[in-house]
Amino acid sequence: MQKLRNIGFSCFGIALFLLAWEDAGRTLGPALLAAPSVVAGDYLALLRQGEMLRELAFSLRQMAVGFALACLVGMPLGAVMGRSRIADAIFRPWVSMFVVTSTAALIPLLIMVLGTGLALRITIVFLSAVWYIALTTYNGARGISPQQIATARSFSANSVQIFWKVVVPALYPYLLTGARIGLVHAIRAMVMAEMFVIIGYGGLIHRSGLLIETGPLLGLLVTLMIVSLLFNWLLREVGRRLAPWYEQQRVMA
Amino acid sequence: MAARADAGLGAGWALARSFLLRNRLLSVLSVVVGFAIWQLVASHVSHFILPAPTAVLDRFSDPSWLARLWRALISSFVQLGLGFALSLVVAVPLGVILGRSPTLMRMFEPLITALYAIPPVAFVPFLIIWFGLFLEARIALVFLMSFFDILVIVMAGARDVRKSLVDVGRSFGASHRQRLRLIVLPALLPFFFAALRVGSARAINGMITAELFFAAVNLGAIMKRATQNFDSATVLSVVLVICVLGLLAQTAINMLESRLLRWHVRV
Amino acid sequence: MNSVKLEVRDVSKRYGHNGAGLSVLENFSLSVSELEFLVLLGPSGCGKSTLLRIIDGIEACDTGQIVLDGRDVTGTTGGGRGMVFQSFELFPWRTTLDNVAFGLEVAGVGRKERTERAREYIKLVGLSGFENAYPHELSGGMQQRVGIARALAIKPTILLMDEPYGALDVQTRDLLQDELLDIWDKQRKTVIFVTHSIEEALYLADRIVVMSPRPGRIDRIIDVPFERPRRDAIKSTPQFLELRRDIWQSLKRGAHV
Repeated sequence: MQKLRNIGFSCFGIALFLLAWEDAGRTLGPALLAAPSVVAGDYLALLRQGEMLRELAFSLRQMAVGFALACLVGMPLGAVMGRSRIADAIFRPWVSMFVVTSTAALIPLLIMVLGTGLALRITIVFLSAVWYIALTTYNGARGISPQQIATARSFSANSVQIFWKVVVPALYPYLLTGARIGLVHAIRAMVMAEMFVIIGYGGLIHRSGLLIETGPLLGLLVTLMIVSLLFNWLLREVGRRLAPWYEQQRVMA
Repeated sequence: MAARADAGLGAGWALARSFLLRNRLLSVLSVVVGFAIWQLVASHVSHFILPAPTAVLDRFSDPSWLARLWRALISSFVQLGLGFALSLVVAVPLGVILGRSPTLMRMFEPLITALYAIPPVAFVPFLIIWFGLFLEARIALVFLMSFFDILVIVMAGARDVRKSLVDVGRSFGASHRQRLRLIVLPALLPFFFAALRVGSARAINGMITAELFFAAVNLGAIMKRATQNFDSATVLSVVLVICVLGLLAQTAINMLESRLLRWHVRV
Repeated sequence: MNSVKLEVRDVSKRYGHNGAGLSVLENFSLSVSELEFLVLLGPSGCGKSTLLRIIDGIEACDTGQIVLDGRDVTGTTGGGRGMVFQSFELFPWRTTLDNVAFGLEVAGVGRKERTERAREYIKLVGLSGFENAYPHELSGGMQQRVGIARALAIKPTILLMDEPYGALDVQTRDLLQDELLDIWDKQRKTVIFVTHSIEEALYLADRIVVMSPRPGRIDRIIDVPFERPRRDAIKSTPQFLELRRDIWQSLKRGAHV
């Protein structure tokens, strides 16, 4: 009942937004701002053409490589930093330095080193996501209560057992939150890198920007939004399955 | 005997360890060693690909280049400041209003989540149509890149102000306005600083992205020209400047927070 | 001592939307005399805290009335009511002084006067020297002393205390009980005190209202016979122990219903 009402409210909010947009779109014309009704038509055309989905699949495949690498490096890095003060002291300055340096600033340099090919895009995605994944995991690892460790120790668990039976399960929700935050950054980085070297989905966005009409451009953004929300939802569901005892942590990046 | 030596060693190690940690020596050491490795590697590869750190630092001893860098930075700050300020002025009040109203929250939270999911840089072609290629477009991108992050944090903070504290206000007969001024806003301050931290990083990101994606100007222009000349030392020095800028912003905000929010214990 | 200070008339409260949920209180009525120290005693979930919050006006009731000094104050706050909260609920961004002065600030009392008055109450609860400390710098017992000073500073005619010592350890609890009795001796006022501790109730109260849960209602009312001023020693008198056992029996019976 309550849930139904919430959905009603949300639909109302979105409808309000669409209505305002429709009105603005009709006033300004499709060259400046295509109305939702126009975008819907263009969107169907984009779907029929197939180029959008083809480029999307191409881009996401490459992004997945960078994102997977970021998880593979970021998660252990964060866990080690969170559990060892020495590792923390060693890696902290580097992580702080990289996390405040926008990846966009690295693009020119990376192009000089790596060229404009696949390596560049994977590296950019990796560098955008890895620090957020590490930091989220780090917060989780630091937050593991000493009592839980002490409890395990009082049942004479050894360090290996403590790691697998206490630390890792306690980290689950943070790993998933880290992955979610990392994914947001990975998608952003993917689009950015592709728009810069004009390839894949980002390249498609760039080319659509050159058209007289804004309908297809906005359609491309809608797909991006759907993809991002879908992944977010998917990771949240995985989290609920794997760690149902833990309410989703609200972690600030 | 061996056990005693071992214990002695252990104590010595513990002492060294605490010394290293307390003095942040290890962190400094880590950075120094990192740069040393970089120097070592750089001496074995072409300086087009990886310039030595000394070569990068060398750029800062050239006064004419320093002047150019300084001018570029000042112009960059204009769009950074305007865009970020605009984003704060809009996002903070909006976040408070939405967060304090369950009805508005229910209406607009999904919409905001949806819009937040779109990478801001994808709006670049759109911003070009609306704002052209120059200052206005750059301000718009800085705004767009920091706006949602600030909004989402402030909104969550305003929603999660402890109800029991607001109840204290009601119990003492505080009016709606008094509760907002005396309870909700102070309770929000830590979130406001969190929003400043995240928002400023995003805004700096927006600043440099804008200078590269619209007509190349300021720092972006320096980087682009240096790239064409294969002058990687210059490119890296600009990256270094942006990195330091980001670190300075974070440090300044943290210092301001611990100064102003002495009551707040950060975990 | 016999004039009526506060009346609770037929108060009902259900949780959940449109009264569909759990019934917390059903047609609850109670009358509190002027300058009486009344304790509401009951197991958790018996609605005693909800009742106190309804009396204070920070929670709404579905039906019924709260009458204070002959005036209907249902759903409003203030009017001589001062509340002490279970988890202290101090404002973490305010110092001791500013926390105590909060009610006065809300009421529009000028800075000079409210600082003066806050200092006076800080002294009363024995926290002089901690005026500029923030809540996180104080122990639990000290925090609740601030909470009490904050409530007293607005000079309430009726003090509402919602399990004020529930979050404290036993020693601190005993100490604060004695302090409360001392303060009450100096500044007589009507007190409604909520607790689930039988000993606390017996030690403090003139009258104990024993409540039973789901929905909350009055199980029995006990007039506490001990002389005032009371000292710790009464807790080991046969009469005290007998009453404690007696109330324990009723609570146990109530728990089975």
